[in-house]
Amino acid sequence: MRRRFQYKKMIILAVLVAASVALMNVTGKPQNGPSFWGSLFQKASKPVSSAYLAVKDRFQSLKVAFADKEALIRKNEELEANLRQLRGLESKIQEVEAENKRLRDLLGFQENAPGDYLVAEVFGRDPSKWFSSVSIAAGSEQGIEPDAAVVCQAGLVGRILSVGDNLSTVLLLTDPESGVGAVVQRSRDLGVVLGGGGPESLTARFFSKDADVQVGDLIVTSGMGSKFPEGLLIGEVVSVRTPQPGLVKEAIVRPSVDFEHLEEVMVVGR
Amino acid sequence: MNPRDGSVITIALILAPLAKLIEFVAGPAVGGPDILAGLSVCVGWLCDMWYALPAGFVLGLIEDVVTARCLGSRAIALALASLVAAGIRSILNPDSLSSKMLAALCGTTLADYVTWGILASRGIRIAAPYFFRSIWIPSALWSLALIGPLHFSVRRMALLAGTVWPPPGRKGRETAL
Repeated sequence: MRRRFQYKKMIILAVLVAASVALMNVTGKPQNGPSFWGSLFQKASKPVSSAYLAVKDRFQSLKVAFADKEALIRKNEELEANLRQLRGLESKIQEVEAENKRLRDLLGFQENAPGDYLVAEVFGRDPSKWFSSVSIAAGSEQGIEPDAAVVCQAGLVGRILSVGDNLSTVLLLTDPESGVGAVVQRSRDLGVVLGGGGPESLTARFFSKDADVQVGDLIVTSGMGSKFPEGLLIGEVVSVRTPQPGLVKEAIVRPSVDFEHLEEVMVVGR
Repeated sequence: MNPRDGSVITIALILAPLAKLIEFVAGPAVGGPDILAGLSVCVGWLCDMWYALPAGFVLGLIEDVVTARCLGSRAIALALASLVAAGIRSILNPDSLSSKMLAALCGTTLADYVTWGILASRGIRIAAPYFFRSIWIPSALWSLALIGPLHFSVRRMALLAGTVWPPPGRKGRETAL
């Protein structure tokens, strides 16, 4: 009987050792995926764990919201302040980009055109509805002289009317007292371009009543006289008036320069 | 000159350069309000005719000096605008807004046409379509819109400024004592 017990113990021990070895073999093997039981457990527990996690997250966010309300408000204010700052910065960048483009255009014009130019900023306009002039931030200290031609990348702007130490007044082409010697670029007929018709209209009077001028012709400076260099663009002919007997031929010229939006101009050196 | 006339003229002369400064910084005045013409009409409406005339002249001279072109052209024009406003006030109901608007319309129209004529006589020719479209019509319309607020502002400021004068019949020192 006692001997049978000894065998029984031995058998149990052997079974346990065999089971341990088998388990060690099973668990020790590298597996590509979870075991059958493992995957079954995962599948079964997935809805439960998902629901648990969802509820937990919800409670977590509610907890954060209630617990850190003050911190969130502060954070929100900081973010809004940052946003405002960034918007201001964006606006400044756009302004700098626009200025950069204008200056590059001016530089391109300066490189392609002969002569010395001085770039000056426009800082004020004539406060009268009767005359057209602008003030620029450059004067005798920068070498500007009266009657010097003033241009921008689009063409002729006008001439220097008066000069101060660090500021000058520019008489625009559209001023009623402005007159510029001009020529039709195509036919080379000479005339004079006069202001007094508003910011979008100039009057060209030709010396000959048979002048060959057509709608679409470009009018440029003739270079006659000493005020303006030859070949600066003034504008484009938009209509031609048939002259009455004894009168000179006239044309309405749309200026190439946008006088309402002048920001930088160049003064032509002598 | 009574204290009221003096206050009105002083306020108008203070406001005139400020108005020009705003126009200089803000941009061209073409198509915009002619504040100095409006002030001249206000002065004509609120003051005695014979004080309004030189006051309007000085207001115009301020514009001429700021513009520094063709001195005197606006001075004469605004003097006439003040005179016309004062004249209309003497024959119409002075408390009615419509009569003030009529005075503003007549005053600014006369001022604009006189300036146009003076400039043309000096060889400074402004094309008629441009004058009608961009100078006279906007100026007349703005004067109709502005005369109410301008009159109110100048009158209130003049009343406020008028309190610095001593009561009638007494000198400043006597009032202080």
